[in-house]
Amino acid sequence: MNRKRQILIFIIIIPLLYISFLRLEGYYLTAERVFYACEKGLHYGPSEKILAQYELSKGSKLIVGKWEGNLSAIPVEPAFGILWKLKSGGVSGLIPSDKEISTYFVGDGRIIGLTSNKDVKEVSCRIEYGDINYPSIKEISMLVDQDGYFTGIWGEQKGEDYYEYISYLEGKNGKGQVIYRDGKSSDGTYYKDGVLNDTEGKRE
Amino acid sequence: MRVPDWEKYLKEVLSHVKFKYDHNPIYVELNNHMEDRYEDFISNGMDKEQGQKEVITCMGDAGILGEELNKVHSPLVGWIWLSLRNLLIILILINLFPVFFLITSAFISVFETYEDKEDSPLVYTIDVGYKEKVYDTTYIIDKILYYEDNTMEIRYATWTNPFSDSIKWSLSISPEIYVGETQLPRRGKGWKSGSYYGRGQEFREDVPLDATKIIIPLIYNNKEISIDLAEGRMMANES
Repeated sequence: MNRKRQILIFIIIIPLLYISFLRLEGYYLTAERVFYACEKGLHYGPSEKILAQYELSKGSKLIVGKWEGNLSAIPVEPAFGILWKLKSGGVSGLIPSDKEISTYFVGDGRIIGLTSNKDVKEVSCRIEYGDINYPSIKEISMLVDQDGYFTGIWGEQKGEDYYEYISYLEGKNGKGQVIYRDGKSSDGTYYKDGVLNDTEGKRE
Repeated sequence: MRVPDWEKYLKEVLSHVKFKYDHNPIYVELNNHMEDRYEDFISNGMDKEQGQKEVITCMGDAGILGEELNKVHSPLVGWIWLSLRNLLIILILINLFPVFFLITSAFISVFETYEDKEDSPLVYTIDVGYKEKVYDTTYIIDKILYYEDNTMEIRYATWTNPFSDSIKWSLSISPEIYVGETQLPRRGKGWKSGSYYGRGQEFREDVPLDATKIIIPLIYNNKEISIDLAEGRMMANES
């Protein structure tokens, strides 16, 4: 077989083998393709919009999307310099936003969240962390974007303490008025998804 | 057979062939050809020295032969061919492991059998044979078995196209069992194998004989598989 004919056969076979390798080994040409492929594999999505991408260690990044009012958070990492794959070490995947304001820790000291309330422009959280019996407290405020998405860095866990919990959360409108509460406020009042627990379900 | 004059001649021919990767095969081929001609001459009674010289004469001008060979062994085509061939070899090598894994896992999954529950007699079975496709995965609910110790077993399999563009997970099912409209507490265990093709079993404990239906929600989707437990029962004592 002459070389020109062999070249033609190579040109047909090489892309097939390349695609086969990518598909079987889970490599993709872009980070976004990994994100959508992971969603498809977990049987949800594709996200209507990628809300944000955050740099993690060693060139990897966390991609956050929004699908049917829920968040989708998937970490990806580069491979062979030109490809991308799912980052090892676990995937958050779909984060159901079952409250008016939902929040989620995604590691690296980052908190992400989504609100379905269009009036909420700022979200403040009180985070308990460290020793579960004697937790340290940190407060953080985050601005809400036009998609209802918010994020912030609250700090990093130290040592062997992995306890982290949002004990209280407030949603404020554009005038700074609190229009949503969830959790135990500083005066000891309990709220559940915006409802004062001792009001027999009556909304504030 | 190495003859100084031949070596000089071949060196002259090869100096015209720009695609150096082919020098060795051209050298071997021409040298073999010259040896054959030489053997012919010797067998026809020519002496060795004259035979060696006659071979070079028969081969013709080294420059003309070299130019002809350079056209056949074009450096542009040669380098493209060589690069693609090497790329092909690399791709074949890096495909070996995933293809081997795919074949072995498929082989294992196909011949994998369900674990038989032997600690309690069977009460009834239902051959479901229901298929539902979710994205690129097909869920196949094979069979439901109910045992005297009030355990309900659901046998199922999943199939995902290995070449689809999704990241493959080994997703199990989470059946909800109802008596009327009341959902029973989820107690039990299960297992699931394989990410391309895999079988799974779910065992639910404390399920009453009069359980009416199983709902299998397909995660994050509005889809669900509903199985009526009152239909298609094959009682063990009747078989």
